[in-house]
Amino acid sequence: MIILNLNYILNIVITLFLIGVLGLVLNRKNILITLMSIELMLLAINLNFVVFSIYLDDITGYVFVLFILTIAAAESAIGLAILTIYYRLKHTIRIDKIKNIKS
Amino acid sequence: MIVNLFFYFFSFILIVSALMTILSQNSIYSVLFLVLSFVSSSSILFLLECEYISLIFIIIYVGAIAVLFLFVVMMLDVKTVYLAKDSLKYFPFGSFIGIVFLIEIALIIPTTFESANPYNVSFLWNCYFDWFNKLDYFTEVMSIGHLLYTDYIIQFLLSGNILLLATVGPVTLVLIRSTKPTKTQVTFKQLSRTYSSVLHI
Repeated sequence: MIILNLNYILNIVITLFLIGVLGLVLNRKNILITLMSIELMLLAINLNFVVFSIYLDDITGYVFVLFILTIAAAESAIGLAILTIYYRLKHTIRIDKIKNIKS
Repeated sequence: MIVNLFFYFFSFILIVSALMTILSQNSIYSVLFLVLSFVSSSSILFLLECEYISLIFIIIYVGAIAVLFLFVVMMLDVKTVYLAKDSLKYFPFGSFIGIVFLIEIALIIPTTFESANPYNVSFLWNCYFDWFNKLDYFTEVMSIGHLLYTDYIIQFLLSGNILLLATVGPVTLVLIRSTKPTKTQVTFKQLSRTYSSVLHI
């Protein structure tokens, strides 16, 4: 049985979420890393839901974890499809070249 | 305790692999570090004794999302030579924002969840042994199913519709459509047009 404080786990989760935000802000190279950092943020949200659901002894958080997993899978599928089309049209996935996309 | 040591170990691996995900220059290494962070978070959930969610994490994140990313990395064949100077251009701004948020949250968290209860230090202080539940108990999947199919049925159907959209949408996006024939001049028809044969008044 774990004798941990809740604050330690929450700090881990918040650090993970902020790593995802930093990945969104810092990364100017390709869109793939952006999608990955969005996945990291969703993972942090999921961990937060599960941790509070265990802490409060309530099963509702698990259900919302399942819904967030659904949204994450749908988001990554559609995002990667759009990325594939963009690569087919422009032959690059650099973010700083993306300003040419407006018609 | 050994479980606490495992918890520290896996959380360290989780943070380091998440950092390496956004910092590594090669996309394939980035995807593999993402898989490592998913697996370590899943083992953290295993240590917290919610087995269903952790196995679902492995199945969906590693089996679906990370494999999708690997396919796209393999298919795009992106050149991995980028200058480090270009990626460090926004480093002060981003690290400033990140540090501000981190300090705010780290100041909020220990004051919010502190109370006069001395048993608050333990993580599982809300949980207690109820021996009736120990003898005649629901498993985790059963209780999730009870909640999911009664109270959250509308949300369940909506998430099914979202999955259908996520299945149909990329297929229709990625399909190579047969392009319509572009309008070109037929040369002999163009040359054979005369002034008298075109104008009809």
